Order: sequence, then structure tokens, then C-alpha cells
Amino acid sequence: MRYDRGVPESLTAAEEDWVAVDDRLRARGRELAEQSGRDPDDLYRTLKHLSRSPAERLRIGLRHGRLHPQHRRAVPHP
Amino acid sequence: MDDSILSTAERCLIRELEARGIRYLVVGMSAALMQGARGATEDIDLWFESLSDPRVGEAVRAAGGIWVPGSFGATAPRIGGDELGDRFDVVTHMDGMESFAEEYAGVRFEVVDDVRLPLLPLRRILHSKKVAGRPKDLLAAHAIEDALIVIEAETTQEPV
Repeated sequence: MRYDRGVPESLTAAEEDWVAVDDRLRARGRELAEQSGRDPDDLYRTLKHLSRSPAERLRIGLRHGRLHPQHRRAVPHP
Repeated sequence: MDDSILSTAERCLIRELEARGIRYLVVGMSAALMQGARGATEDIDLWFESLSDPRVGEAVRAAGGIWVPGSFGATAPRIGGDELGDRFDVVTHMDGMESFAEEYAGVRFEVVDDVRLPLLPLRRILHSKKVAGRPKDLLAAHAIEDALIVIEAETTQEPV
């Protein structure tokens, strides 16, 4: 069964749980992308971001901004 | 608090502002991040109701920082100093916004490191970013729109 969906048999139960949650988020991202015309990967990443606490979201954004200041100045894709 | 996002002095400033009843909003990308937009920022933008309120300087000094109130056309208001650092930016102009009082009516609070931060709502940040229209604002606007799409589609999230 697990090979059927491309997941190796060697995963622990906790790792399988992680994959299952991630699969659901990716599927939800695709679903929302079909409804909105947005990029499915962006929406998947947003879903993951929203699953974190507000404090953790701030931590990630500040860390990324400090390490990669050029990333906040890029021009978005049309 | 080793795992803190805000420094001891930064947390102290937030507490001092609240203790004095000073009204301000966290705006810009840091506020958008906390509300679910993906992205990056180097600073935490603060929009004060009144920069001439002497209590702002008192709060900054109580947190060990330096307060430069600024002077129109001469020098920008700022919060700084070795202890407090320069991560808090004082905003003097918000593109596309109504008065502070009108915007404050929609304030959302989030707790970070045991201090309560008053945030400008995500939809108003989006509006401001779109009006500002610089490349980095448009990049942020795109991420904010994604967050709003997801939040509005998920019934468990409160409206923004």
C-alpha cells in the first residue's frame, strides 16, 4: 500500500503521520489553487505557515529577512 | 528566555508602552507574517497614534533605549541604542490608510514571548501594500493575498 503512493516502507509511524499530514496539505493547496487560480505550491506553503503559531511565523520571517535580505526586495511573478 | 523571538529590551518596551496606555499598531510585513502571510522582514514597524506624546520617549528610555522624536524634514523619528537595538522602525506615513483612530478600531492582538502586540489587520496591510506599489510591497501583497485565500477557505480561522 505504501509503495503504491510512493512512500518507502522504512518510515516509522511518526514519519508516516508526517507524510499523511503533508499529503493532506498539498491536496488542499491544489484544491484552493483550482478555485482561486493561484499557485498550488504557494498555497501549500501558506497552509503550512498558518499551521504554526503567530510567534513562530514571526520568528521564521525575521530570521529569513536577516539571512536573505534580498528575498524581500524581489519582484513578484506576474 | 533563550528561545525568545524578541530581545529582553524589546519585550520590555512593549510592556512599557502598554503600561502607559500608549496606542500604536504593529504594521507592515512583521504584522502580516504573524497573521499568516509568508515572507521575510528585517524589522518590526510601529505606527504610533502620536509621535509627540512624551510617554513614547519615557517608555523607550525605561526599556534602555534611545528615543529620537524626529523633526519634520530634518531627522526621522527612531528607536535605537545598543540595548534595544534598531529592529523597531517608527513609521511616519502609511500609504492608503485612514486616520490612526479609524485603523485602530480594527486592531487584532497576538501574543509573542508573553507580550501582547497590537496588529493592523491583514486586509488593511494588503491595501497599504497595494497603494504603496513598490516591488517589495507587491511581493508582500502577493503573499498576503495567498494567506487571505487560505484563511477565508478554512472555516476554523477567525475572519481578518
